[in-house]
Amino acid sequence: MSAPQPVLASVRPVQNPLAAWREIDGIVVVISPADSVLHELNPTAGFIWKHATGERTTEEIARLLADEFEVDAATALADTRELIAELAAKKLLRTEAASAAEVSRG
Amino acid sequence: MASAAVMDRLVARSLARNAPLNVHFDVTYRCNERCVHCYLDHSDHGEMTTAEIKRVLAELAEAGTLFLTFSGGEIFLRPDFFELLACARKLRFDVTLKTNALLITEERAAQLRRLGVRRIQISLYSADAAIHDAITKVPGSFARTLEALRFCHAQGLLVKISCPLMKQNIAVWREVQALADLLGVTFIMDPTITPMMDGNRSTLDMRLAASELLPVMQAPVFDAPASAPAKAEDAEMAAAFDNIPCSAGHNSLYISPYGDIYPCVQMPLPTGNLREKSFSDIWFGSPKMLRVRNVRESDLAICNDCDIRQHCQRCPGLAFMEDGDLGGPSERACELAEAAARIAGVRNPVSGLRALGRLHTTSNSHPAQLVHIAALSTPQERESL
Repeated sequence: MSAPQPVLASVRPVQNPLAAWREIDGIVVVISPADSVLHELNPTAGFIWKHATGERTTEEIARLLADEFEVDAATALADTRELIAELAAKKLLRTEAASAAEVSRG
Repeated sequence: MASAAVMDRLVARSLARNAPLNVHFDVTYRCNERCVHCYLDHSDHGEMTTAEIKRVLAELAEAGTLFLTFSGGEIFLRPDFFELLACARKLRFDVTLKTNALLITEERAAQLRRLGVRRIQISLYSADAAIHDAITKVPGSFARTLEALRFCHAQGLLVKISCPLMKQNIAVWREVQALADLLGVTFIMDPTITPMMDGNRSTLDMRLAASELLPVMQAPVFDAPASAPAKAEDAEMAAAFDNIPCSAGHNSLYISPYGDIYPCVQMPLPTGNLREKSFSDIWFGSPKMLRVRNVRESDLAICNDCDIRQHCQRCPGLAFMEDGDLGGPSERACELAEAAARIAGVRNPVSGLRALGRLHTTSNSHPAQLVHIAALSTPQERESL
């Protein structure tokens, strides 16, 4: 199966409310409501997961990620878009497009 | 990534940090059945209120609890139960329910699904309505439980039939397993019968003798992990559990309807009350909880000298229940260890308690049954179980 296409930078990811999750000792684990699989997220992925509350766009999360983990902005954005697409494909996240006004504001 | 390996690492991390990963929360002791083997006092002596339980749930989420089991008593007797469930799911717990299902309608099953309840464990004692209803003392309970079970399964909930084993249903557990297979749900047996909370030991009359239980415990349903973890994770788990008798008080605990915290539902040692102290104060500061947490396998003096320890599955809670000693042996475990050792080919196995002259059951008092066990323990027989 091919990897899912990275999401647009303007997408606002939201955790699936049916997913159970917890952060223990700095590691986030998420239980998929679709198939009961337990997923372990590394610190970077866990950081993105915790910010996937529907309040920030993928680009905004990527900026926070770049600051937190001291990576360059382009790498952070690429990683964030890819991870959000992957989690969305597993139905752990929903992806909601930002409004046209927000997109035009950049 | 294999879910089993992820789970092993999660358990290891929680043990290392004493994160309360698993919580068994009885929200009521009231019940609409009167099962003959039940250990509970069903009167309400002051259950926690909705607000109190919500506060506790928030504390548990903050402390790192992921796996939350709501049990009782019968959970659906609480009028606020769906409100508590909604709160628990909002806090992102992975919720399991234990119930007799008598009060689950088709609409309620759908509501459970909408709330994100993942698993539900339903007690069923027999595939024969007469036997089941005689155990629950509620006429018609078999039919109602089975109907509710079907509602839950149709909603996509992971349904597990739990079949507590006792003298009344030991002969029919295979039929329950067959029914579970037919329904497409999982099945588990539980042979633990304990004295009642007030110390009344009459329930033990229904408990199976070791010689009766052993052939059943060899059935694959008793030892069927989903998949074996990789060797690296095995080592990690072994290290995490190194010298710890079990997870009680380390990463798991029990909460009563009255707010008392225990290391385990099977360890009657109240360590603090949530109406008087915060969860963290009790979990990390209660002298009794710390006492349980500090017990190490190497502290179990009699068990360490036991010749058949490799055949023993001592439960620290049940051992404590027998004589109040956290580091002592368990008469029940010694009996079962001797029977297991005999099946494994050990001649005249002597458990720690028997060596001290403190095991009062005779080791070979039922030769006919023991022959029966030996016959059942052939590989072919095990396969057929």
